[in-house]
Amino acid sequence: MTHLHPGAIEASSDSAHLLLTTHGPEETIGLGQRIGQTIRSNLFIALSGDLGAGKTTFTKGLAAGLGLPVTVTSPTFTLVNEYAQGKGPTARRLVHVDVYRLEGGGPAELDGIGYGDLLDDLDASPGYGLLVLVVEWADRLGALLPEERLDVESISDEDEPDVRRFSLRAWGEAATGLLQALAE
Amino acid sequence: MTHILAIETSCDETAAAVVVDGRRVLSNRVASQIEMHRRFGGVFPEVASRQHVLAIQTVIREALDEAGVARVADLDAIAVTHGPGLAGSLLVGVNAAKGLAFASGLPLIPVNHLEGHVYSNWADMPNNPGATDEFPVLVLIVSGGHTELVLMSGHGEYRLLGRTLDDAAGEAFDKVARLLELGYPGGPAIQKAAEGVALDRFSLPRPLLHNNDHRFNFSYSGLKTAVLNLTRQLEREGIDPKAPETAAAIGAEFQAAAVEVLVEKTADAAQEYGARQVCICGGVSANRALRVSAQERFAGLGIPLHIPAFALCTDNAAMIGAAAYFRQQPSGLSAYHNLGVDVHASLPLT
Repeated sequence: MTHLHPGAIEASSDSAHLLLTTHGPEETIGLGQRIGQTIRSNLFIALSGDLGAGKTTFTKGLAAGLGLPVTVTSPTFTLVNEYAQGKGPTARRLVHVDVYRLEGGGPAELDGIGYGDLLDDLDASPGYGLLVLVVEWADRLGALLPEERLDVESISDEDEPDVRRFSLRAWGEAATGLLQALAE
Repeated sequence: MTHILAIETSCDETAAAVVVDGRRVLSNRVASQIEMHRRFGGVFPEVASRQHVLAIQTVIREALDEAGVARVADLDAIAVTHGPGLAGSLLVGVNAAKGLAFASGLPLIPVNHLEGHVYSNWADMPNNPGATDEFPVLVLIVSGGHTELVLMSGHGEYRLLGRTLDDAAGEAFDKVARLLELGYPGGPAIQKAAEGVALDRFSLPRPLLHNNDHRFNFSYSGLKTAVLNLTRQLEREGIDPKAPETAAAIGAEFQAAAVEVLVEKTADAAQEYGARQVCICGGVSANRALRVSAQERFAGLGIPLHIPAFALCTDNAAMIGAAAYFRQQPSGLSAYHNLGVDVHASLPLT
């Protein structure tokens, strides 16, 4: 359903990089959906990009790819939205965080939205099912980002309003494996 | 007469009120953190809960004094918002309410914040009597976090007809104000900039208007992106979109687009479901353009419209006291002696 044109995957020992272009919200949803379908283990996704770059749209696709029949809405006001389905090893949980309004917020602010607990949950055994933690405006987290993660940066094109260039960078084994599966 | 002390701490406001029989507001105190957020340009969950802790005893005391209530035990019940909202903030209100209920032996009524907004319409205020009990009532809840069309067939009976598919309307106001550097919070900033500005310079889309697949749903993400694209287009033409006159013209057109979709979809739903009253509530219902446009539209349709007084549009505790009264009515207060009330960061109305 989507027309993605993946560039060649650039892999090095500690990270891998993939560039993809989408033309319109449907394709951005399609990209999120493909990633959601490909995720096999708990994953932290660090989303960045300007206002209107398609961060929430991408997350709509992720939820669909994870098989969650939900309407993903912006977490800007609520700070954290959580979608979950099932129990035990087959459970799927998508936690959608937005740190846009947490300007100047340090670790204490993030604890106020349960950030530390969520990172702990990412390390939980597969017996608890699959957890995907998506953080919008993650570039503001700096050193508070976990080492193993998938960075997704969306860049809108000033001359082509519908075009979004997605830069996907994997840190760690799980995310790198995911990118390799996507590029195939 | 049922006197209820209500407490609300779900987000930025620490609020307490005393409400009689769900309608008569004896007191309505709010300690707002908005000044602090304006200074820092954002929300601090940890700071927010600490501010609630600092403010709550004073706010409750002031609400009781203003209502002429000498002792908590003279009341009939305590009500508190238990979700949706920031967990840390909600906990401050819920714990204070539990303490008061435990010490006084009064019933404790947990209230959904969204149901509170719905019932802001039933509270009587000077020059603004509450809604009547003529059902069905069509309610538009529109705020920073919500944009929902709800049909009420009776008190406490809700059917969700539609909602935003992405951003809430109030959030779009905030983000567009930020794009145009008009200030925070975005709603009042855009309203002020747009005052008296002609709508002939720019044209923005009316998302999902006349869309049969999403007849009662909303989408504000695309409108925000349209504003972004417009500002980039202007920059390419060498025009500064943030220059006061241009920003005001874009802000005015954005406000007109946002309001038109809200009013038209509400009018469409009101006719489709034979609503005998329409209520518009939540923070964005304080917007003057929305109030004026809705008044004209529903006067034309001959459907009574209710929009709360300004003091009840933004978060407050009087609406929680009103909602609590109607919530307990079917069973009576004796069903609310369980103090095991939890907070729920996500809590849907239906």
